[in-house]
Amino acid sequence: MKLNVKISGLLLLISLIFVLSACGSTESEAKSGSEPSAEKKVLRVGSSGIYPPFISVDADGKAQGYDVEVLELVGEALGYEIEWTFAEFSGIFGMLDAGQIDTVANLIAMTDERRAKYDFSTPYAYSGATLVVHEDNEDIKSIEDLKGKKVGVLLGNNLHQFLEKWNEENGNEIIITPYQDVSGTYNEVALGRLDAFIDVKITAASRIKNEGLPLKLYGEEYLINFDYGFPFVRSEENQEFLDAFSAEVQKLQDNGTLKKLSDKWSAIDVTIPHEK
Amino acid sequence: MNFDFQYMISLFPKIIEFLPIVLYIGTLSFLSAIVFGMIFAVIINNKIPVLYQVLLVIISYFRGIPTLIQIFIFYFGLPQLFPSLSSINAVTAVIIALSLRNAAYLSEVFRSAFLAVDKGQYEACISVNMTKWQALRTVILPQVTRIAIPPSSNYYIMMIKDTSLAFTIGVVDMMARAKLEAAVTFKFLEAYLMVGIIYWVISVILQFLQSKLEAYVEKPYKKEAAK
Repeated sequence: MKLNVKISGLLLLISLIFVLSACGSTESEAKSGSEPSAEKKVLRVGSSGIYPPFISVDADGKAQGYDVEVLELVGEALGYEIEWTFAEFSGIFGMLDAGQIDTVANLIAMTDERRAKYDFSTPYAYSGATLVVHEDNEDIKSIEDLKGKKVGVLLGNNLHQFLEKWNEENGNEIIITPYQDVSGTYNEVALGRLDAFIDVKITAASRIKNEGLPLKLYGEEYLINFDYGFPFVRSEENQEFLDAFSAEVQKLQDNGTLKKLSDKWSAIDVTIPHEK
Repeated sequence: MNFDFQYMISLFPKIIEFLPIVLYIGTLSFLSAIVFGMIFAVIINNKIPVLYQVLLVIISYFRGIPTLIQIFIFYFGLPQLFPSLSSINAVTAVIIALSLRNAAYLSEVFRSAFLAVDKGQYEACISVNMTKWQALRTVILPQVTRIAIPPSSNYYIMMIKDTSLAFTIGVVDMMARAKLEAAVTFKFLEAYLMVGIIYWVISVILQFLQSKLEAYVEKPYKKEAAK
């Protein structure tokens, strides 16, 4: 028994060293990580990387898309380099809160809930929600028609919140099915397991085209309008940067650069502000 | 038939590029899980006061909560409470979360392996004037190792696959790369199938190594049989 105690004491000591050395190494990492970023002025941007044509990765693993080019132009004007971090969308805002990234490029809609928590840049895109339905579907012509139907949403995004809220106010008759990521969702509609999937119109249009599935948009109207901007954590030091950032976005909008980028990446012009 | 075989093959080099990070996270987590698991097992077997009670709570936490949530709590939750922890990078966070979680499981494996070796053997060693350390090293531990290898290998293979959770907090691994690829082409089935096959091959290789290792620790028993 004595021996066992001795051994366990030894093992505890080892484990302590283990833990302490782990702490030490992370501290030094933190120092080396934060100092140069202050000098070189790096803007750390997080994204799911799976939201074409706004953000995706090319064959070499580099970021590409409308969001990317907008950010690069703004960053260039302000003297910042962009550093990309790709992560599951469900983790992105956690990373923003924890200070591991400075902003998010994922066509983030400026919803009231998000505005309450984050400061947004001037909008750099405008679009809205649509429904993806099977091409033979003739029942779904408005959001009212979704009652009693099974509708897929991407877990935790603004369309999910929109649909949940609408459902609550209108009798909870829509069967909302959240998905962790968008990979299989269009197939679900094509296979008839879902009656519709709610998505941003631009994404939906290009995905239906690219995926070659027997799908269509339910109609031309947006279910809800959205302005899209870059979210930043609310703080005084961010405010100054954000003002400069927004001014640059506005410049790009005014001189027609955004329109050009939109034409390059998207089938629909995303730079037309919604009528108020 | 809507399946692009050519495309699937073309993904192989792009995905395999991220094999090192998978093996790195998986292996490092496994090794530290073994160390912690042993410590846990010793504490539990000896019912060391205070430590034992604390450990029971810790083990219950790690066994009871899904890995993904543990990674979230560790990476996002702790920095929210203690801002100084926000400097932990994502890979470190995944390794710590995976190793503690699996240490909790492995401690049970080691504990049962210790219990499986009859106490009489230890007493017999002492009776022939071996020191306690000799008894442990030459008689008890070899048997414990032999019993612990198959279930431990299971955990290793599981951990290699658990690394795909790391993308949630921004570590791009094989699974993440496949997702990013498929997002552009919308060929999800091809991409996921390719990753699946790669993971499968890895686990087959690991199983092969396991059988080699088992054969090695079985050696003394085989000699016995030959006589």
